[in-house]
Amino acid sequence: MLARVADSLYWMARYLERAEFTARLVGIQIQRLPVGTAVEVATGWRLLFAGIGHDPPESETLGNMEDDDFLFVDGYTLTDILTFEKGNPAAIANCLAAARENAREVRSAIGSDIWSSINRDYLELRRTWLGDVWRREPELLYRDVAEGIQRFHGICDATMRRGSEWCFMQLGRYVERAQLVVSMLAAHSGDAAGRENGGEWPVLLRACNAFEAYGRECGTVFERDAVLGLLANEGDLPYSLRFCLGRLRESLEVIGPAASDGPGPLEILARLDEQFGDRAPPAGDRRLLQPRDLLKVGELFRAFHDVVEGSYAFRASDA
Amino acid sequence: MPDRTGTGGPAFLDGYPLDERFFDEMFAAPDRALPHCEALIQALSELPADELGSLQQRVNRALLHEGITFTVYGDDESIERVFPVDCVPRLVPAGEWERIERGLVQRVQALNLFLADVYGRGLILRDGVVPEDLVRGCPNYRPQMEGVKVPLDAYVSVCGSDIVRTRDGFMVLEDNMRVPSGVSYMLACRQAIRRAWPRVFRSYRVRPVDQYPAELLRALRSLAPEAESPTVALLTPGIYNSAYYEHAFLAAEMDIELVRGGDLTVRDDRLHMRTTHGLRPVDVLYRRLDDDFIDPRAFRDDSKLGVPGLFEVYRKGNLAMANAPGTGVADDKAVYAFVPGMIRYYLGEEPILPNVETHLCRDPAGLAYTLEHLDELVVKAVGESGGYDMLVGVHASRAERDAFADKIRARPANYISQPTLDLSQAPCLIDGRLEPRHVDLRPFVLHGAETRVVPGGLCRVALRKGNLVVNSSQGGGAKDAWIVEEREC
Repeated sequence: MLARVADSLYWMARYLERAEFTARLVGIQIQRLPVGTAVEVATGWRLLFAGIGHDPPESETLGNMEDDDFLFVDGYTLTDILTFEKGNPAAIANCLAAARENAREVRSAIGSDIWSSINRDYLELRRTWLGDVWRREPELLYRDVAEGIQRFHGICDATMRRGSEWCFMQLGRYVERAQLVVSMLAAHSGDAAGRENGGEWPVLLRACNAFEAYGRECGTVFERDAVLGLLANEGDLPYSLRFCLGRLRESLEVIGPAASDGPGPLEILARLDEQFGDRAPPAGDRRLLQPRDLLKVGELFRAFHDVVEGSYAFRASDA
Repeated sequence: MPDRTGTGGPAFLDGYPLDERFFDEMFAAPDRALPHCEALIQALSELPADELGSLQQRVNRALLHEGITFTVYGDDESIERVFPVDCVPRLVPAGEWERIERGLVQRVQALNLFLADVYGRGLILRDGVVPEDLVRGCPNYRPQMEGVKVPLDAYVSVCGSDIVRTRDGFMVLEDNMRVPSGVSYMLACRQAIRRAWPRVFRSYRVRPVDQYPAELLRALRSLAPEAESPTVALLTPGIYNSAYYEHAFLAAEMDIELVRGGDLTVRDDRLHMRTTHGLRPVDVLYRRLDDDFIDPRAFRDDSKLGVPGLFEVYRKGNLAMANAPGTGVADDKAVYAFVPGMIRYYLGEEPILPNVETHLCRDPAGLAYTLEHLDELVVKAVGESGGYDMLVGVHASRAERDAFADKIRARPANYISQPTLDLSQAPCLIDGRLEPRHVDLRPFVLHGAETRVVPGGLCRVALRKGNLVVNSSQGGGAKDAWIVEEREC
């Protein structure tokens, strides 16, 4: 397939994953506004911004949020920044627009059903004004965005051949997911408030669809090491790093090897495997991945991205 | 002027005005439909009061969600616009269509012979049938093409000719032989309108158009130089081109790669695509890029859209290209005036479809006539398309006519004039009622190992009341054109 098409499919999937994950986090954060303490809500916003790698507007804004009076007003501002602000490339609307631009590039490769799905969601969000949504049930907007992206993946799943096009989308989707999860784990692990009361781990687990799984396996006490172990190693959890590694490896096997001077993408995956141990950890032991390892894991996923770009000539000259 | 006010027919037809100057595509007279339209009128009559409006909304929504859009340049805020499609189809009886079809095949064959001749021996120029200085001086004449061997002598593989109808019958208004667009809108219109009128569509046994991409691919493959299973690709300028939707649509339907200049490179006298697993040769390029931009070494050196060295590969016969470079000389608006002569010269036949009377301002008599009758003529720049740089004298103010006259005097060879045609009208849904609007028809002709015309075409509509310019860039829309069997009417 064309290298440019592979690039667009890869980035389309990355932007969609980013939009979906942010929508899930914002939706959960909005649900906490009526019930959480001001400190919990402020901590939640701070970790959310840290996790997606975007600076919150002003430190005093989040400081003010520890006052109930400012909770909803500033919640609106922060939600708007994460959803619509043109200057924030990580904003959901901007991610969706970027995904759609990439989809337009490859309209001929993805088929009309898939294109219509992303186009419809983009147009819907573009017509939305947060002020209107905020007066009713704003969390529904984020549920709809996330569901729209899941529907998109469902249509892809139902209609696409499992050839290179599909596999480059999977690469983008699971690289992005893994990087987001690593980044959120790092933000939460390093947060003093999180360490003290453990109150933010459930939010991350919910965003990663792992809350119920944690409860079944680890009980109702939320501990950093147990969360790390679950989100790193539990291979049948779609948001775990091991699950992402599995999808990346499967996709690379279909795509096939490409010319590369340095280590290939499969070699990077092998190094990542080493970070978690070769096999599933013994029952009850979920502490193989330590917070200090997260930096290294994040670097390896970034290296994986670079190697994929280089190997498959996304930005190539004549290679 | 007769109208249907108070006839007791469906409400949305009340007051439908018939103007005797214009052929109406649905009504022969007030209260009397054309025979082949009776079943459609009946279906319209049976619709509940507001159903036609909601049917139109469904058509619009489907087109929006499917991204059937075109781009208007200079509109920064929203460059993509949904292509307006009227929910009432235009019906053309099979007998009328068959004459159009034969006329178009004749025309495209003659124009291909003309192109092979002017880039070859130049006999038609030597014999004075077409003035040599007009051809060699045409901005779209490409001397680089002189002596180049073109596969099957098929210079024009895809042609979109604009057919209009007046009280005098059908005639060809112009031929588009460079990179004609609109066929995807024809196919999208068909899908949307077929969904809107499933029973009527079925009852009419409308001739299908869905085979167009397969027939296009067959025509393209037939051009391939010696390749048993040729690789065909479609070259697009990219997503900001006004016809990008069409490029993506056709590539998907033909299951070929949609490439941009940056995806292509020349190696060892072959054109290659850059893939995830290295370079792969291309045998046939369906290029949707003007000549000027396809190769900065051969044509415009500032082009960033094309492929350096591509023309040399083509010249050596290692690549087929549709349409061939230099075909623009055949759709020049001044050369157009000589097409009937070409048909007689090359084929020894009388033209089946007439031209519109055309005055060349390069000729002193034509210039004098044009300036004298500016208030009743349509004046067009010879190298323009899309409704740009033209004057519709009857709709222009005195000041606009005077300003245009100055432009004509300054560069007379750049302009031609034609009488203002009484274009036929067809009923369109406007604000909940059917109102007549002027229409034309752009059928698409495919020419490779054989010449074929897909039955129908893009029926373009001037949606502004009284407007004669149907181009989408000028506020035009479209209708689905149904070629219907007369025995069913």
